[in-house]
Order: sequence, then C-alpha cells, then structure tokens
Amino acid sequence: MADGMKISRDSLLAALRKRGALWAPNDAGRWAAVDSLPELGPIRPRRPVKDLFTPPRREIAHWKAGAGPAEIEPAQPDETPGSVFGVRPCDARALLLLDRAFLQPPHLDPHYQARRDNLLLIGVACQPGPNCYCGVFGFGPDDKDAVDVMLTLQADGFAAQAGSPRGQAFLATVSGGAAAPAAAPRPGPRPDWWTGLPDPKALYANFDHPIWRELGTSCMNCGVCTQYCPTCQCFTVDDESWKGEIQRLRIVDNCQRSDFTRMAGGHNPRQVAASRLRQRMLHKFSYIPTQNPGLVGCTGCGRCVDLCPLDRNLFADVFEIMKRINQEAERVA
Amino acid sequence: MLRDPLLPLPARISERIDETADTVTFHFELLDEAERKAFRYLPGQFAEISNFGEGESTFVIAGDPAKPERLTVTTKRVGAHTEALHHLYAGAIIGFRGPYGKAFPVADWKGKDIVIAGGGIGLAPLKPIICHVLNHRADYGKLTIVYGARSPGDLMYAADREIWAKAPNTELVVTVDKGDANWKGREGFVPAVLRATAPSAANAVAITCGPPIMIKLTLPVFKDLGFPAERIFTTLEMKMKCGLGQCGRCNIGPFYVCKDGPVFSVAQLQQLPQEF
Repeated sequence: MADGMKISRDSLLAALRKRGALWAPNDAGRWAAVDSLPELGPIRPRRPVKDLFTPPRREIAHWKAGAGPAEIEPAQPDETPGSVFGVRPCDARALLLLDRAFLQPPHLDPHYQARRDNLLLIGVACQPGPNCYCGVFGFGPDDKDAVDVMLTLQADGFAAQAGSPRGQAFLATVSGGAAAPAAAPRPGPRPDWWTGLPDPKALYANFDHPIWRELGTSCMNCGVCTQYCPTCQCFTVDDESWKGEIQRLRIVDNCQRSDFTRMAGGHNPRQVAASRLRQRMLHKFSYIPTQNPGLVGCTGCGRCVDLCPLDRNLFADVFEIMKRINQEAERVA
Repeated sequence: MLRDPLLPLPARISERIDETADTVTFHFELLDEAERKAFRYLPGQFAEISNFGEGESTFVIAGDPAKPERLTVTTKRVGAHTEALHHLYAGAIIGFRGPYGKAFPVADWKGKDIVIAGGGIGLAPLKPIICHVLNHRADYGKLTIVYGARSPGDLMYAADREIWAKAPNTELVVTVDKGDANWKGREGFVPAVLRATAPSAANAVAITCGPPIMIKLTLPVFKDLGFPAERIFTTLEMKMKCGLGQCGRCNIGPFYVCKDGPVFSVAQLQQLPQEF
C-alpha cells in the first residue's frame, strides 16, 4: 500500500481554508496570516516558526493605571484553529524542545499549549543552504517526524506524507488526492569534517577549559544567534506603560546580554563575555542532553552561522572544543 | 481553562515594618478567599512579587509556614523595583505568584539539632525554618541561631528575635560588625562568632544564608566544627524571572535554581560549576 499521496495546490489550499486561519512566511521571512499559499524560498525562512507559538512579545495581562485588582485583564490564549504552511523540519523539531520547556507539568503555558493544540503544522521539504546542518542531528530536509504533514514540491502540486494521526486525518479532507508511493527520506547535510555530537558530560567536565576564554574573545555578545535560534526559550517579565494603559509582558530575552544574570544588588555570576558564550553552548550541547537523553538544544538550522556578524560557526566551535578536549585527554592517557 | 502561571494573584498589604534604613517587611494576604485558604508553603520556598506597573521580583516567603494566610516578604532597596515597592503601605495591592522551588528538607531533620548562621537580610529565608522548629519543638533538638549585621541599625526582625531569645532549648547569639554607643551586645563577624559559639555537629544540621562573602567564610567554620557537606544547607541567589523553570535565567549546569533549588546542600553545590 502506498503511504504517500499526490495532491494539487488548489485542493490543499481549499482544505486548509476550511480548517481555519492560515499562516506562512511572508516576503520578509516573518510568519504572517496569509490568504494563499506563498512560493517559498529554497531554505528556511528568516524567522523560526516558534514566533507563532511563543511570540517575542506576549501579553500576560493589561490594566488601566490606578485600576483595582478586579480590573486586571488576563490575556486570553489564542485558540483560533488553523494551519501553518511552509514549516521546515529544523523549526518543527525545535518545537519538540520548546514543548519540554512550556508544556512541562505543573506549570503549563496555556498560550503556547493553545497554539500547539490548534495549529496544524504543514511542512515543506527544503533545499538546504550552505550553513544548514540538520544531518548532524540525524534527520533531513524532508523529515516528517515533528510536523503533521510533510510536502515535497512537485511540478504539478505536492507529494504529501502524514507525520501524525492529526495530519493523516487532515489529508483525508483534501479532495482529489491520489495515492502515490512515498519517496525515501533524504539525508540531511553535515560538514565533511564533522565526527559526531560532543559527549555532554565531557563538555561539562571541561567547564574551566581555557578554550572558552579564547572563543569568548571572538564574540561580542550581540546575541543575534539567540534571537534567531528556533530552540532558544529565554524570556523576561516586565511592565510597560503607555498613555495610562499598562501591560504585563513576557518578552524574549537573550543570555548573551551582560545583565541577563545581573542581580539587583549588582552581583553578576556571568560578568565576562566568555562566560556567557560558554553558557549558551553548554546549555544546548551539555545541559539539555544531560537532562533529556536523546535531545540536543540545537536542530542544525544554521541561522546563527548565517547571521553572526563576526562569522563564528557554532558547529566549527563545538568541533574545535571537543577536538581540544579529546587531544588533551589522549595526552594525559 | 488553564490559568497562565505567569499571572499574579492580587494581594493586599496588611502591615509594613521598616526593619532597617533600607529594608522593609511586608505582611499581606491573598484577596481571593479560596486561594487564601488553600495556600500552603514550606520553609525556603519563594515567590514572585508584583508592584503593578513596575514589574516583578523574586523574594523568599519569610513568614511562619504554619500561618500561610499571612504571607510575608522582606525586601531590601537595591534596584528600581524594590525602590518602588518601598513606596507601598498597608492597604496597597500587590501581585503574588508562588510558592516556587524546593524547600529546606525540614522533615528529614527531625530529631536533630539545628544550627543557623544568618547575616543581614539573609535571615529572611531562615526565619520560616526557625518558626517551623519552634512550632514543632519536640521534634527537634537544640536550636542555635547566630545572627549578625553590619551595625545595630541593620539588625532585623526585632520582635521575632525577642520570641526566639525566650524559646525553649534555643540559643540566640546576635552580633554586629561594629557597635555604636548604645550597643551592649556582641561585636564580631558571623563566622568568628559561630566558631566561638561552637555548636556540636554531632546529630546536627547547619543552615546558612547571608552576603556571599559571609557564606564563603562561614562554610569552612561549619566544616571545622565537624559538619559534613551533606548536612550543611544554603539557598542560592540567582536572578530569576519566571520561577517555573521556563525563562532560562537561573540555569546553572544542568539545573534551574528556581525548580531544582534554591535550597541546596553544600554537597550538591560542589557538583555545580563554580560560577558563583
């Protein structure tokens, strides 16, 4: 039995619109509400899809200045049913990591949960770019494990495969679909020189290794890597007031800022740039894998490599660190 | 529908106590009766306190855990938010989220002597332990409290200290770095006074909290007195925003201070990267 389907663009759009609202990357690479299916670029869009699930700025509550406690209006989770078209596997896999952060009992984020429950993820296979590294993490550009449906663009429509029971049910609503054999999954790109993911415990054991300081001198802590990272979860909570209206906001934050860990009294455990770079790399490649065996805090989207103003390559850096650590271990042995 | 865990519960300040020139204790009650009656916390757990319009900060719940309807935080004026909090008086509405974090394992300490060394506002997280021990006096052995501050004017919890001084099987030693003309008590730093007090480490647990330098110098004294690292506890100070293990700020090694701490034994701390 064929496990794939062939569907037309028009019937897909019709079924998606019947389901509800539709989001897709716009020309600026941001996730926006759309009426039709846009032509996608070859690689992942500028912004990760997490923006729809954990927006950079999200209201917790709002009230008027001087309001009483009963007049504090909590923000309501957005339960609009709909679909997200054009999700790339790296971004979809990143949502599995964010689930671990925001859907973890007892403190579930109802806003995030409402989006996860109500938005169908329609993946579209990509043509990896020069800094794409999903193969490092064992999946490829048409991976369907973290989306509901994975599409591959064809001359006259899409080849479709369900990635979840929800996606399977959706595909049954697309009219005129014909069964077709599914293509074999494509391997993901990875650097020729890559030899494997670092051992989380070895990284942690080398917390005081001088290499962190060396790398730190080539980082200006601008934080662009964290701001475009599909897995970064950090946020701050603050109030903003404008013309008598006050909003309690949950705003994206970035562990590379010097005052990320600066306490009110002035004490800052991560005062130097290198300690913040180390925190980012260890969080992704040591702390998350240690706490969640099988997961890594990176999905290889490569945006941090594309966007680094100083041309640092996270993967080259991780590789270099492990090489140095292993060499020294051999010397000692 | 599920409640947003970042949404604070409104509470009303019932009493304000100016402890020192820069430190204020607020007693307050949750407005919602059902929430107020259901609320419980354990010694060492903390909360996020909102001054609506000014933001939110983290404070340990510094009350008597046996009276959870009367909540307490002690706040030192060190930044913009605490500055704004210190403009509030009885009757004002604040926001409350909590309790968060792992508590001091007071149940495991039954039958043991309890030794407490606190400095300055570091007495705040220790107060619920003291209250708990005095509430369950027969369950614990001797309670020794060494408390110090820079000057007599920096000592807090005067009313509580009067009660503790008269409590059964309890030794309260109060010291200041430097006394003034009216000071008749002890002078000296907490680590030195602790060493002179010399509480027995046999079947005892030690808990310390205070300025980082005080903790640093107190831990070796506990060690010299014979306390093993597994029986010395402290509470870590780390910037936090959510208290839920989500915002990423208090991540240290594979832990989040907000949910894996803030209470740690020294044995546990020795496993963490030396970032602090």
